[in-house]
Amino acid sequence: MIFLNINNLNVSIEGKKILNDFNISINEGEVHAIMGPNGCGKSTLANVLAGNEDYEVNSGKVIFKDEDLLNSNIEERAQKGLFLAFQYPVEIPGVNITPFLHASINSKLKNEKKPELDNLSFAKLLRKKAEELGISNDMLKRSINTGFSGGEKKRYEILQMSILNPELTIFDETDSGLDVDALRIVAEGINKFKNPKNSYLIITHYQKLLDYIHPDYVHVMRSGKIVKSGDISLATEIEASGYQKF
Amino acid sequence: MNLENNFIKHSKEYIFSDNKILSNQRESAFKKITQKNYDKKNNESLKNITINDLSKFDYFYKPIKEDPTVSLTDDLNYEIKLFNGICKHYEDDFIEIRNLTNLDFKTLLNQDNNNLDDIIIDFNKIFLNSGIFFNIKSEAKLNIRLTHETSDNFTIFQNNFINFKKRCKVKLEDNFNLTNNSINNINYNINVEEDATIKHNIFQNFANSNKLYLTSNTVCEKKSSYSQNTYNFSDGFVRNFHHVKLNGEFSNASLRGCFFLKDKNICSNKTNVKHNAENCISDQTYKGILNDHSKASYYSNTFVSENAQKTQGYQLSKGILLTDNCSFFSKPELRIFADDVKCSHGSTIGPVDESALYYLRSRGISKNDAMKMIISSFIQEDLQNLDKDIAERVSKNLSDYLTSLVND
Amino acid sequence: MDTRTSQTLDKYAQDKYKYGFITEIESDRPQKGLNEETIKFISKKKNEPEWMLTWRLNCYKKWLKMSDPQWANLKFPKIDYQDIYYYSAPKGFEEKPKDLSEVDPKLIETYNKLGIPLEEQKVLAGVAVDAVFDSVSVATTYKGELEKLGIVFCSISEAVHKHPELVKKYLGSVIPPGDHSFSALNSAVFTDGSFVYIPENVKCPMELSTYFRINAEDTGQFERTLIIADKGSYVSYLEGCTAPQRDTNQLHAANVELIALENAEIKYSTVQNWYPGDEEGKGGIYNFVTKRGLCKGKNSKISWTQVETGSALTWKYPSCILKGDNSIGEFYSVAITNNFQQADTGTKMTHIGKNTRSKIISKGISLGYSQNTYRGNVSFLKKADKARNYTQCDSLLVGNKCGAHTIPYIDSKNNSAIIEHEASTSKINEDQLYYCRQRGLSHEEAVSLIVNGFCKQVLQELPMEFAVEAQKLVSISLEGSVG
Repeated sequence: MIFLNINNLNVSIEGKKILNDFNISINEGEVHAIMGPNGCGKSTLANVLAGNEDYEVNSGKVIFKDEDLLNSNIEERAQKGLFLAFQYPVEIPGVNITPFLHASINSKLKNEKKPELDNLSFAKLLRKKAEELGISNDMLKRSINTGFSGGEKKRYEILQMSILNPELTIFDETDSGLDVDALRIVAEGINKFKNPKNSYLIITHYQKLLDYIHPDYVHVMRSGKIVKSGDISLATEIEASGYQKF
Repeated sequence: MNLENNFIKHSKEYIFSDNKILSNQRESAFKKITQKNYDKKNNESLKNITINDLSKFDYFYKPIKEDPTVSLTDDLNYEIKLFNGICKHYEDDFIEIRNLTNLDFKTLLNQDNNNLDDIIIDFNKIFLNSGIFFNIKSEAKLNIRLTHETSDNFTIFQNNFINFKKRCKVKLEDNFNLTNNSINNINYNINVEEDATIKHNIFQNFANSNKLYLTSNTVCEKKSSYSQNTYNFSDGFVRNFHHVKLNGEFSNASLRGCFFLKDKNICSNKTNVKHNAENCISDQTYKGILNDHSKASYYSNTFVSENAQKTQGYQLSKGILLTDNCSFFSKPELRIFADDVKCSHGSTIGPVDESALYYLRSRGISKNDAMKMIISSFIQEDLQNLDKDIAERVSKNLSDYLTSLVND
Repeated sequence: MDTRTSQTLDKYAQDKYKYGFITEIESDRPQKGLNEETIKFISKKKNEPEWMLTWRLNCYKKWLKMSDPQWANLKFPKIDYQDIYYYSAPKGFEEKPKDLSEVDPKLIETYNKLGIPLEEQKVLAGVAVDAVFDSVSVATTYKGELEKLGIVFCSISEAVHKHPELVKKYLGSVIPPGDHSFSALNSAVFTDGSFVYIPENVKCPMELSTYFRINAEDTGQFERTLIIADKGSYVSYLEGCTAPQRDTNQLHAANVELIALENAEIKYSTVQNWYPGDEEGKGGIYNFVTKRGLCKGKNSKISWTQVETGSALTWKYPSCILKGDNSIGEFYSVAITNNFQQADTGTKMTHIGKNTRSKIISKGISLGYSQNTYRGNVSFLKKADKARNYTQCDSLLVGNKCGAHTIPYIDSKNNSAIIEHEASTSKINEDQLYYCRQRGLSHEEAVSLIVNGFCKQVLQELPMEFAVEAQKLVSISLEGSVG
């Protein structure tokens, strides 16, 4: 099976070209990190994969689990097992996490033609996962991301990921704006749910997060394409001498 | 004297009384006001006033001998003095000023439709006795200081037209030098052409025997900007009704005002912005301090028509009541017909912030000084955006007002 | 979103109003039209005492001199008051049935279909119901249990006979019949409605509820509700309404008066789901309702919560007169308009007493070709020392064929009182939609979730039994119009 294959992807926003013949291949169970300076198109990549309608795909192909990903809309991609951990998770006042995630996981189960979860078993699942992540009951009662600190929001994203159990998770600069402690908590959360079936694409500006989550591959991105690929040593190299030389 | 007598007795004294269009307008406005089933109850222009009060005045207007002036302090600064509604004809490469001619009315009148229910505008039409035409030419960059001088007992009913041509950049300052017992009913029709940027500051500070009804109707074309600030320190009655239509894309307007009332003074305010094009921004903010037995009202309205997507509209009204005998009425309206908009309004009315007062006094500041500080801070943020000389003038007036508070 | 919205607006057109069925039942009606004879007919049908008839006739005389209020942001043809039936009762209702065995099974079936079973054993636990069908009250449940506590919960017709002293004292005391034409009209021709009296220091242990159903064609419904909470008492009252689907407009002009004496609290909740008319704006209920509460005693509290999704026209301003010192008035409202619906709704808080407080939370959602107006009046009179008001009105627009309007009137005559007012109008946040859809929710589910979140502040004020219903109703009202 082809898990994820992006082939010569060209993307623009409001006529401005952002991704430029972009290529990458990810197999089941792999952890990839994409690093790059501001404005190289990292976040665009994350949003295009998630199906954000603001971006225009000019050409190229994206195959996800043997299917053409670009033909699906946002929710269909999510239901197929693609999860985007947002850089800035939006606040949704008045909407509680429980009904929200419940509807979310059932949409996925329905798509997989599996039985949906009833209220009780979902509540149990949610409580269990929250406990594992050290998320208090009180936090589960609040509206989605509303009034949360940066770290709390990111932890909330990890909680959602752990419940939806996506095959591919994309972290869009999850580490931005986090202090070291928050960073560690997020990384621990990610490590806890890592398994050989699931793959991760970590988009980041700094090496720090990669100290906690050990990627199998590291790619350097500049001007809308990958310019160099390697292992974790590449990240160390960037930390030491910056992006200039790429 | 009642309205009918005034109307008939002075019919020869009105401007262009022989003009057919004008006399038709006069007749129909007169009929409208005097008809029995005229809806007075829901008429916003009648808040705090009655038709009876409006109708009872001695109409007095005659051409004067004293000369109005236009002078240039330097290349950019024009001092224009209107005397009893008359200006001196002047023209150079940047600006043209003249009294309206019979001919103007054919082309200029019938333009405004904001004022269908405005009884003050009906009065303006009936008794119209003067009008000025301003033309600010393309690319002109200049400052205008305009002073309205009115002699004792004069009644001015004036309709003015200001044309700001493309890409001009103008600071216009309006001053009212009124002596005694004058009535000033002044209507501005302002057109702001493409890429023009206008700052319009209006100072109102006159004795309580005078009345000023100031109305403006502004149309903004593409990428133009009109910002108006009114400062009302008057002891006399003031009405500020200001309307803007944003007809061109990417244009913006701000209508801001501050009023400081005492004694039995009444002040009636209204702002109204109509968004007719995409990507426009508007701001309507009025703040007032009321003392003694004063009374104020503020109507504001943001109207967003169906095609005015990506509109941003903001409204704010704030009132501080200093005594138990003053009152403030506000009605901030939003009328929205397009969906991609961000509009909001906020309104607060209340006393001086007790906790702030307590805090300042606990630091050894006297109650009176503390009051002054808090009231000044109330409009401080507005002063910051003003040019220095204007900010100073406002500060001076404010400090006079505050002194009078404390001496009471 | 725009193309999708318009596509699915068409889809919405095919959705049917769930409660649009008609009950085939013979009814007893006078001639169409309004005159003294009609009023005498109603009064006679109800076997009313002379004082009641006199009161009605006086109100009718007032009405004759009045014209309908014009200030609302509503467009509709002039109402022909002579083309309406003013009374309609299912045959066999000369006397109110003593128990359900005397009620026509078709009527019981109607209420079962509406989800309001009248047999007590099936009734929602903790909710007592008074069911009003056209002009008469069909059945009141849990009556016995309430009587033990001294609580009176019956139809207003019954109260006229059994508690004339209370009716005489309070009827029209909060809404003077001469207030405006609809209050005068209702006072002249009101047919039935609920009456509640909670004695001193009694906390009513269950929700009291009235369910209104208009069935007969061309019939106006003029119900009258009077709730009196004596010193130190508490009551929570719910009101639900539906009507069959008909091509013609039907008039509904209700009056609701609440009186809270010292330390008493009344909580009044409405879920209004009258037939809204079809997708072309044909038919539907004209809903002209006057609701007013008087916080008469010190420390009393009246709280209005409404979820308005139905009616072709809504004209409704549940208000509080805060007369007692320290009294509290609250208004929580969700109004959703779709297709060609028009709503002009809001509240009026009149602060008279010292330390009175009021809170207004209003959420308006406009879809389709509808017009949705919030109109609210907050005034502090001269003696309302240290009074406080907080108002928040938010509007959401879906599509650019509809309108959202906010028209507050704010008036302060007291310098120690504080008014705070905030309002906003916007469309649904695209980032929120994106986020929800990334988690696998469809566009429509996401909109429904976000709108429910938008309304939460109001919905959470409803009693539990109704909150879930109301949430569903919000989702149904949006159904197909977005997505």
